[in-house]
Amino acid sequence: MSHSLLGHSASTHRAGGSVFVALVALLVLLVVGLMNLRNAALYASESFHQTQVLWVVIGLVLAATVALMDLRMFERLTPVFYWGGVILLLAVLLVGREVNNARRWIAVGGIAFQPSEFIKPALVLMLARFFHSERSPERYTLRTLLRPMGLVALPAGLILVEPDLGTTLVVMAVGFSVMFFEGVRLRSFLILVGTILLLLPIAWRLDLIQPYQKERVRVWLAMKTPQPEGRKKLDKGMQPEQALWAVGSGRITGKGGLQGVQSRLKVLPEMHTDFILATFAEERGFVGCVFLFLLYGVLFAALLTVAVRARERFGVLVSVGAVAIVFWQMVFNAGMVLGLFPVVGLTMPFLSYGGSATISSLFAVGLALNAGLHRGQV
Amino acid sequence: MTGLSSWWIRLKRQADGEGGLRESTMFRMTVVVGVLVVGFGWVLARAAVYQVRDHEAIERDGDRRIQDLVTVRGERGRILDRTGRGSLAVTASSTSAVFYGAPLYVNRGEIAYSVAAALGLRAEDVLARLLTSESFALIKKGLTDTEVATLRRLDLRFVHLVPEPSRLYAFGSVLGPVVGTVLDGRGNRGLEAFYDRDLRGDSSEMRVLRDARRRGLIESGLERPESLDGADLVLNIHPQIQFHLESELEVKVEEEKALGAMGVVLDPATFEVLAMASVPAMDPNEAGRVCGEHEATDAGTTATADDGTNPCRNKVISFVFEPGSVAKVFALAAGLESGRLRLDTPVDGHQGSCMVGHFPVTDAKKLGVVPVRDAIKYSSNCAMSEAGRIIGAEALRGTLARLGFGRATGVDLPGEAAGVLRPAARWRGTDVMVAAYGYSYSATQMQIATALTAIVNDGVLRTPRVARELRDPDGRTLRTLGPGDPVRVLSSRTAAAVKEAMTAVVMEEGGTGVRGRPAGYTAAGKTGTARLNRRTFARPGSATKPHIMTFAGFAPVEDPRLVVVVSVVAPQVHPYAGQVAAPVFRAVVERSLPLLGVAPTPERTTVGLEGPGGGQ
Repeated sequence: MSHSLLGHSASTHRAGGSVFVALVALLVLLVVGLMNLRNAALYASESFHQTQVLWVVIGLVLAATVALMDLRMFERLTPVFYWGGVILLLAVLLVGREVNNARRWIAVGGIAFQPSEFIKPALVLMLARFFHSERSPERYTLRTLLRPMGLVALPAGLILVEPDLGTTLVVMAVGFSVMFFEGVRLRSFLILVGTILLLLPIAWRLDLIQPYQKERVRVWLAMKTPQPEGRKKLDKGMQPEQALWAVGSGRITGKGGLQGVQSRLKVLPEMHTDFILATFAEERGFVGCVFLFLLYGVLFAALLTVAVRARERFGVLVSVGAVAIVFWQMVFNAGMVLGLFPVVGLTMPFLSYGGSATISSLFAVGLALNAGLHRGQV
Repeated sequence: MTGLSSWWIRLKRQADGEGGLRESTMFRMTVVVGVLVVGFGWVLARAAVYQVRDHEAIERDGDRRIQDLVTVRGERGRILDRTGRGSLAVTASSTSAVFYGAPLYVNRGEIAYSVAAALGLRAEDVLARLLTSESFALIKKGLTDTEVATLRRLDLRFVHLVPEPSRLYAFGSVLGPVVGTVLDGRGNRGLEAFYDRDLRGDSSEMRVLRDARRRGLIESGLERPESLDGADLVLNIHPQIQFHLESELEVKVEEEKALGAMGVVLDPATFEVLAMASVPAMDPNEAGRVCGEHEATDAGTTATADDGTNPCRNKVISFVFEPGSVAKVFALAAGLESGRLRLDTPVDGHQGSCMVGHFPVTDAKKLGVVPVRDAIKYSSNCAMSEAGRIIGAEALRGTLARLGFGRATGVDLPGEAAGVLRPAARWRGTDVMVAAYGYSYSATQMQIATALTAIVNDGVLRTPRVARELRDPDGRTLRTLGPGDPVRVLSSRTAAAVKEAMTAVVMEEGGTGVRGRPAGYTAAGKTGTARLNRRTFARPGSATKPHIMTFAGFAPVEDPRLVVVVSVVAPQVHPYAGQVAAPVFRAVVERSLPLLGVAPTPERTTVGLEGPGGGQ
């Protein structure tokens, strides 16, 4: 499939082919996601999938708008997006709505949204702008990287305090991705990553990592221990374990639509948001999962193809950053559902229910497409 | 794979040729793509491990947590009176609040506090219960509707409402010892025990899946759980006759300061038990407290231990006594049947004083030589002892055995006693003379009533039945519980002659049973004042020797509709059954016949309480 779709656009159609492929992959993903969400909603006797349709439509309109706009305008507006996002992150800590011991939501006129979702594309734009203007002929040194590191650390820190460890990790991963792609000296980059890894135990000690987050890590470690008896004692381990049962019981071909026992019994936690992949895996099996990840892969590949065609660095960086947003989120979420990582609250792009996340992800796709469509002329 | 590599080649070409990206950027792009491939590979490999390789173990582990096998029990059937409308015993589901399914880290204090507030309990008490067991605790039984509603609204996690069947006896002690009791879902007394298998219904194992709140969702098994329900048992018991019999006996026990009393009413045409009463009687609702669990097995075997005051025994079938003078009619039947006696055969009353063997016997009425008919009418022991000698042991015992003495009647109740009727070979010297007036063998009231009913029924014996049929919950008849095959035990002529003699007892002046004559009706019967074991029945400070006073009779004479036997154990006010038991018979007959549609004859009535007519 990918061969024919990608292959023929090599010469004259230029970006057109890849954009088309990306759009098809995106739309199929959205349809699969909505169908899956509908089943999850039926299990729970709810109807949030209908609301999700609205979010998807809004997100698509926004993505189209962003994709067709002049990127130069974005560059000019970048500080507004970024600092506006930071202010919102500060606001959420002060006046945010507390849900499950975390302040992540801010309500404006009856509509609640998560500023942390929108800071991700803003950060990508901000980093792209920085590297575009502060172009270094040589590799960036650690010192020159202090500013972009600060640009990443500021929102990451604010989000960590909410607390929202998952989004913090995604923001950091996206920041590093952009920095790495820009051409940070490999040594500098490794030192950076090493420092962060060294800081983790300190953050653990200083209670920057919340107790429940530590608990999740312990549960995750306990799940790794082979003897099942050891597991039962950790009841909070139930969350990821139940997700695992759902995934495993899907077997190769899945149980089929609305046949998911684990899903029906509502033993799945956060069935329609963070653990939506478990419902999908239970119903559609390994074959379904392969198909799903293939869709993501095609989408990312197509977007990256579009990205490298951008003439300006700003466009390339924005595209790569946008792909990084969706990619890391997908990997972290899938890793969480499949027990590769401890549970960090993260949604699956295009599958999970949620207005802020859906709109933000589609906004990112729009940005990535923009670079290719306009060839990044800044 | 070809897609991926061709894409990669194209990506490189584009980047090199048009994008003007530096070579180093291409390296970075390679890394980016590498990260993508590794990321996808990792996730997919993981999915493959779970879904393709380990799914069996994972499923087993998961199923164990969400599946439960539960036993679903049908609801116990009702016990209904003969109209099929009056419920004597019903199963009500009361609701209990139980606590289970909570992991250890769950804060039990919070739950205890909320539950206690909702149920009006002390929070400390509830918490203590929740802490006694890790997994399961009963919080409160028999919740009221309001409490159930409150708990439903609160919807507390790990607190569940469980329906619990509880047996309710709407009429309390009325028919109590006959209906019986249920212990832990099994009938352990009375009809509940006898028809337990039919009433109890079936149970079935079901696979149940539990959701996140551990609420059960039935996954497989029965489509209609109602099909497990037990059958309804419809009795022959006539509720109003039962009520009259019981209240008359109760009044009599009180008046006579007696230890107890019992009575039974049969339909002579069908051997249906229309009423059966023991006084005092337990209320099955409180059997656990009154009777104690050690009594859970049934009567009969230890019947002699009952001095008449045990409320948990059905005395009609378990109280064994020497019948005394009542049994003179059976001796008469034996004599007539053997051809050795006719109603006018002369027997000597010895002026009310004679020796039977070495024992002196006295009669209340001093008779000379009289026809046997009068020996019955005036109830002369001396005259009957002579009749006994004429009949002979073989013939007397044979007839008694054929009338059902010495073996249980087979009535549909557990623990029926059989009494003692020795084989003829073991009858010694005067035994036949004593047996002629009702001693030297023992019986239950049920045996006496059944034997009398055979006489009233023209000499044909059947098995008496308390229950008439089993119905399914929708009211369709499942099984009719007939009275058993008819067996002719006496000739029609003999039966008619005995009835004639019994009629004289009640209807002729001077008969011992005249106090049993109902207003507006004809009746026949026989009194019996029999000695009881002094050690068991005498009470300290009581001057009277203990007797059991029985009246066995039927009415109306022309077309018998009722056989009634009543006995009062150790009355202390009056010395003769004619004074104690006959009036009970009379009252029961007067109140019951109108209920069966038999109107009193106007010219002979003094306007009974019920008035003429009555319903069906």
